[in-house]
Amino acid sequence: MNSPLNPEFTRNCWLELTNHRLLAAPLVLAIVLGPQLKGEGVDASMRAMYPYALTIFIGATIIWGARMAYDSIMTELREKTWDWQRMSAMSPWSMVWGKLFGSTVFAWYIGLPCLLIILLAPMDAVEGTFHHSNGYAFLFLTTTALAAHALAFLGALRVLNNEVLANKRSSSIVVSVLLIWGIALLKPLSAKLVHWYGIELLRIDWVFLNLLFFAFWFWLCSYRLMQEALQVKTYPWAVLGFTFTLSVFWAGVSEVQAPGLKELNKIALYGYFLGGAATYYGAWTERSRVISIRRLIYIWRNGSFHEMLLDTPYFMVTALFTFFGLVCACLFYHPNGVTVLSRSINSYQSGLVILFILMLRDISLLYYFSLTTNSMRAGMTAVFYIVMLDLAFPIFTAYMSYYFFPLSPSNAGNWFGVIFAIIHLLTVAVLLTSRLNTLQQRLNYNIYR
Amino acid sequence: MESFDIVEVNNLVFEYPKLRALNNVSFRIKQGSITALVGPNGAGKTTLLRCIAGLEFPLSGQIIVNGQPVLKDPRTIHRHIGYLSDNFGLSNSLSVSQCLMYAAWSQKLKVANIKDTILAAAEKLQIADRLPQLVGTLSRGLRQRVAIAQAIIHNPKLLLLDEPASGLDPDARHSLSELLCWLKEEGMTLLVSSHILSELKEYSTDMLVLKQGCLIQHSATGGSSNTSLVFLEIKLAQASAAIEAILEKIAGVSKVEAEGFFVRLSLDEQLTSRHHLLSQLVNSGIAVISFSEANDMQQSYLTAVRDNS
Repeated sequence: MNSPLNPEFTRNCWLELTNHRLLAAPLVLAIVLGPQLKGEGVDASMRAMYPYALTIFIGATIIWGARMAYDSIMTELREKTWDWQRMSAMSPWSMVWGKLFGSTVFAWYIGLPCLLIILLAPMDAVEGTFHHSNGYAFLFLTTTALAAHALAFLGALRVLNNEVLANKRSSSIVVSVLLIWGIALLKPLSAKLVHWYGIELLRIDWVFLNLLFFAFWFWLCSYRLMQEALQVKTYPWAVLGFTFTLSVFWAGVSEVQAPGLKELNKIALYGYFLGGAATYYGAWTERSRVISIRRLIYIWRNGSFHEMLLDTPYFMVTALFTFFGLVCACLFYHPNGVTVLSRSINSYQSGLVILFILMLRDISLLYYFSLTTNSMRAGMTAVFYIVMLDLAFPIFTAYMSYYFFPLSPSNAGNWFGVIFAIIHLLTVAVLLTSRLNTLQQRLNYNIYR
Repeated sequence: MESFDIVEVNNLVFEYPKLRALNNVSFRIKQGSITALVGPNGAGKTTLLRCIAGLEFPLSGQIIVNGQPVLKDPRTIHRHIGYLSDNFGLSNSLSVSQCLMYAAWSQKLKVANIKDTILAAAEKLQIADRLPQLVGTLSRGLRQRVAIAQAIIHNPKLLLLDEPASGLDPDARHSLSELLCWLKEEGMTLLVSSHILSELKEYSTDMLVLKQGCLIQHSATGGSSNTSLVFLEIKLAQASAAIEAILEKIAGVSKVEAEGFFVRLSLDEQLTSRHHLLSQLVNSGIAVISFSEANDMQQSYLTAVRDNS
């Protein structure tokens, strides 16, 4: 017996395509779609079956398939088979496509007849949702399924690599997001126009472009995270590439016809905000945050820049990217201001600098608490203090006419706020350094045992 | 054939956020040996095995397996290593033959007929008659055999086993001992972590003792041991305060440990020395009710752990 194209795909097919399932799925489809067959001809039957086929495809292939993709990783954790797989000779790419297509093979088995109906249905049935053609509807739905499966798989890999939220809660978050996505697809997408870098697009085309963009990146990032899980070290190009291309891609939606200073400023601002969001997400979901920093310091002391790049946590890479976005946003500053995320931003340089410094302060605060409590509790404790510092106290001090807090109404957006933000950062940095030194001494003497 | 060091660990440090799990651990393992990795719970045994297998990255240190650094390229080293975790890592919903088939395919075995290879492995591990059966329906002992077959399907040079005997009945444990000896005969080097020292004694040639992340002893055991001492365990009808003083006066006796009704000691291996010791005790009025040779590995382990406490 020869080796199959992909052992992981074959294994998943063994698990998913049981005889019972292979017989039950066509039977259920026949029960649902059969009554829609009309005597007036093929077109009438297809027209009647179209909404059912669309609903089944969204429910079974997109949403349930995403759940299957998520479970393909979670089952390995549950059955403790993951270590063995990590030691196999399969490449990261084989693992990604073997698991993604293998775990969802039954969802596709149900969905393919539905896709066939969507492809063959008369144009007037398809037009209500998809303005172009059956082929467009086919591509749109297939891309949605591929993106949804990869997103769920990515979420599971993130859980796996970080061992955070490894429970049903995260699975239900992924499924809820996909459910909203699926329901949104059932509603006819309006024909409103979207301008993207001077190109006029139908809203559905803009959504399709987004789907293609995210499907590509979700698959690529799944590959990258699988590399990490299989101990293949690479430079952090994926996270940088995703944040940068997303900034450029989303900044294109504008009323301005030709690119210019204002467009560059907008790309930089998107980079700044998206990089900042990715930094917060990365820092708060990193499991071994203390260890990764300690390892980085160790490598730095031993002078290997190449290894340092390989071991740098994601949030540090995105923090650097955010800084780059900040510099560019200030360099390409446009006096008339721009609109970002539906909000008009005018005089903002000092505001952006304050937010960046506060981001560094927040992460330092998170690390400070990570060294005392367990990492889950540290995250919540840090959030509590951040809310107090940036929300509760500024309101209180504004009332009391004190100005120590950078985001208090009197300071936000001016250079005094920047000075106060630096004082905040330095205070937390001093506390963090002292705690790191204490921990180092305790580890050296094994006091924690 | 001259044996070489198949595993070389130098100054290994592994840390969890607030715990140093391995502290400057260094040792070497000879090719063709069976090394028992022992230590109290939380000593760092599993972490050490996972580091050698390239499943965890330490903070610092160096691990070399078969002449290649593990931390630099763990994927290459995996070809030379078989790893059996304490929970076996088997898919319950697959049959035994599917598990082995998947293992052979995913290890990219370059053999003409994989089916024959699987059958041969199954016969060696005495599970050939179980090939069509679902793994989830097998007993723990049989599941363990399937897991070992899966771990050695690519004929690794080094096999790492984490608590392989845990949860097995005495018969299955004995079979495991035989199986590990057979793997050694086949040319594999084994590193076995376990709590059950009596079983380890049957097959191990070396012993590594870990305590609180530090390697406190690395010694030869069992057949390869060149020690001239035996460990004896004496049980008394009633505790005696004078027994330690009496024993220390007897020639050849060392490392006396008295604890209530039990006394443990080391004695030279001459049979006449034992006779002499027993007569001295009886003549001194000590109420001896049992006088037997203790598990020297266990004694050696306990001595090492206590000396380092």
